Amino acid sequence: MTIEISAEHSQKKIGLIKALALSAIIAIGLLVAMWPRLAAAHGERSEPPFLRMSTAQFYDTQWSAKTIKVNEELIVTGRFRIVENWSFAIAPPRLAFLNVGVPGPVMVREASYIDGVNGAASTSLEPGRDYEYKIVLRGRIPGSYHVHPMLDVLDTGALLGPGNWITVEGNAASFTDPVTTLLGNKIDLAHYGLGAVMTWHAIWIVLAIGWLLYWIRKPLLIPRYEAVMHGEGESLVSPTDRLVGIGLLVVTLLILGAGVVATRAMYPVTIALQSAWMRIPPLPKQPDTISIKADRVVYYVPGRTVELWAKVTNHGDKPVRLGEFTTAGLRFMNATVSKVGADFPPELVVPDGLVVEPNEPIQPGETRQLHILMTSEVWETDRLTALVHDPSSRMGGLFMFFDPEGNRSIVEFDSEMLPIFRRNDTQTASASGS
Amino acid sequence: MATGLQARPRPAFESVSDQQKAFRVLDLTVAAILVVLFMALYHVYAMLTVGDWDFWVDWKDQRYWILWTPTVLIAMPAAMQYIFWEKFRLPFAATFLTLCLVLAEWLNRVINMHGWAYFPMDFIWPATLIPCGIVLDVVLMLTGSYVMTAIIGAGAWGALFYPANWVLIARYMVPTNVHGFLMTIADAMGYHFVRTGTPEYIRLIDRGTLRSFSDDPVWLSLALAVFLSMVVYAIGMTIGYLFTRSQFIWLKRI
Repeated sequence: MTIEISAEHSQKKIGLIKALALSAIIAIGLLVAMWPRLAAAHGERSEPPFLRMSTAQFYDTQWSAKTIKVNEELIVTGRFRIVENWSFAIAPPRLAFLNVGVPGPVMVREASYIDGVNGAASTSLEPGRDYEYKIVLRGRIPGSYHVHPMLDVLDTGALLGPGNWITVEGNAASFTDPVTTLLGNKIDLAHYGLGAVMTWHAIWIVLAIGWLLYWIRKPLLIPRYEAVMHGEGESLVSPTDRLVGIGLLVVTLLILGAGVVATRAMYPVTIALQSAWMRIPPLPKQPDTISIKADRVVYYVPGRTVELWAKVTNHGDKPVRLGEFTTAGLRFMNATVSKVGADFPPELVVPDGLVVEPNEPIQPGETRQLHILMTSEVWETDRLTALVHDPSSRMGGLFMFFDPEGNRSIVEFDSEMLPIFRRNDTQTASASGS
Repeated sequence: MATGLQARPRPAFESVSDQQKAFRVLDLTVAAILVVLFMALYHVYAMLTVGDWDFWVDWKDQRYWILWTPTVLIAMPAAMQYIFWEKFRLPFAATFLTLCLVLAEWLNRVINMHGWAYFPMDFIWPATLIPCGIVLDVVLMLTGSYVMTAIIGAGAWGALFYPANWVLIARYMVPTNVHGFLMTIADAMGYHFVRTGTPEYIRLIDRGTLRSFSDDPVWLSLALAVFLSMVVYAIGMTIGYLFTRSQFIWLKRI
């Protein structure tokens, strides 16, 4: 009998050990598989295509350095166009704030400007117009970060410009953020007033713990509950308890009063939190020397190619050639006309991604039918083709034309886009756009 | 089965001392559980209802912050105060909850917002409600009346929140010049320490008719905070009452 029980017991034990071992393996496997990876970019590719193609188009973006040290400056400059055909699905940019897309305050914003005006406050933006921006950052936490210019638009959300990887080197402890108050005091925003805040919190925490300990040292639950249930609740609060309570009340009010008086004496000049909405005029409007009328725009899914047929009219007095198409921070280049500087993030550039047929200059006064091909996997990797699922399957962007002297004309483009899902399909439908 | 092993009634405790020890163990166990529970519950409640006002120094304005924070945060202490007082005659529920809240908030700020998101601690410290909680508890103990506590205690809760936190926030309201803009130090911190999800226009600071109604909205906000704290206290107390009634046992089960 004893032996049987022992054998059964050890079998159960072995089973338990096996179950535990299996559980441990599964737990470790899940832990390894689901271990969070470093999130250093901003998920710009997860933004729906209409947010990236039919709102603000950033161009001429430049970063002053690839690597900075803690406390050193990084300056991000460029322009953005608030597109005329702002998506109907979201609120118009009646209030926006020039922000910067970094993973938290790993860099601090020293200054920001829109068209040379201080960009610390929000402003309305005008559709169809261009704005120039400048953001001055300073390194704070060492690491490698994806840094974007960004517009926050009320009731719409964040609109990200192109991002570049910037490395911050050095020691985070050496970071300082000096500011001089209008009363002449020099302070460090990174370490200001925390000692006083913690002291005040400590005072109240000590008082609270004292009051709790006063009661917790007595029997708490069952004896008191029984007493209350037997109608003896009044006896549970003694005159001493009341005296202690009155004392605590007086001490609390005295500390509060003394604190307020002392604080008023220490900081006689204080103001309310500040906020303002500004009116920043856009850049002067360029003359409309070129117009585009799209006849047909398709996205050939198997070939990852946007193909469009458009009539382009040159109203200017110089011949022009199509050199670039930019949308959602991506740049499709016609290498025979325009090239991108080496410091622009290569993952955002398709060097030969813009094929124009015919590629000859469009003469002044001439209207020409162009066949334009933009082939690249970035349509998929940047998830722009997901616009098929958007409420409005329209693609937008900026075409850039160049005259022989290198002067640039920017033409906004917006059109319906029809997808071709199968290899041998042809499209006969017409799209309208301009 | 042997006769000696037959079950027979035995006293739960061998002596009064054993009983007291057991009650003490129960007291401390329940206390430890309640600390963790209310740190989580009250903190989540505060994050959902007060949120950004308590996260950032540059959200702690003189109008909405001092009105909204005490008003919504009195509900849970009111409910627990009723239960603690009605069932145990213990006058420390509000102090206990406000202490739990501030401890949980410091944990959240240090580990989450400072440790993981790199915000400096001087930009993200929490407000305190402990003095308000102490006054609320002492008033209940001294008066033994829920009505008086609602009027005097809850009124004091609403009125004292601002002075209790003014001593913390005043130094951040000193003016400074940021590239030609007049800003408080708190504003400057909000501008410097980048928040990608909290643009400047989201802040609700002293906008609206209250500003045009009076030169300084603080007093009007305080008056409203006092009144609304009384109302919400009564609502919270009623919730506590419902949770102690046997006919609402289904509610407790939920």
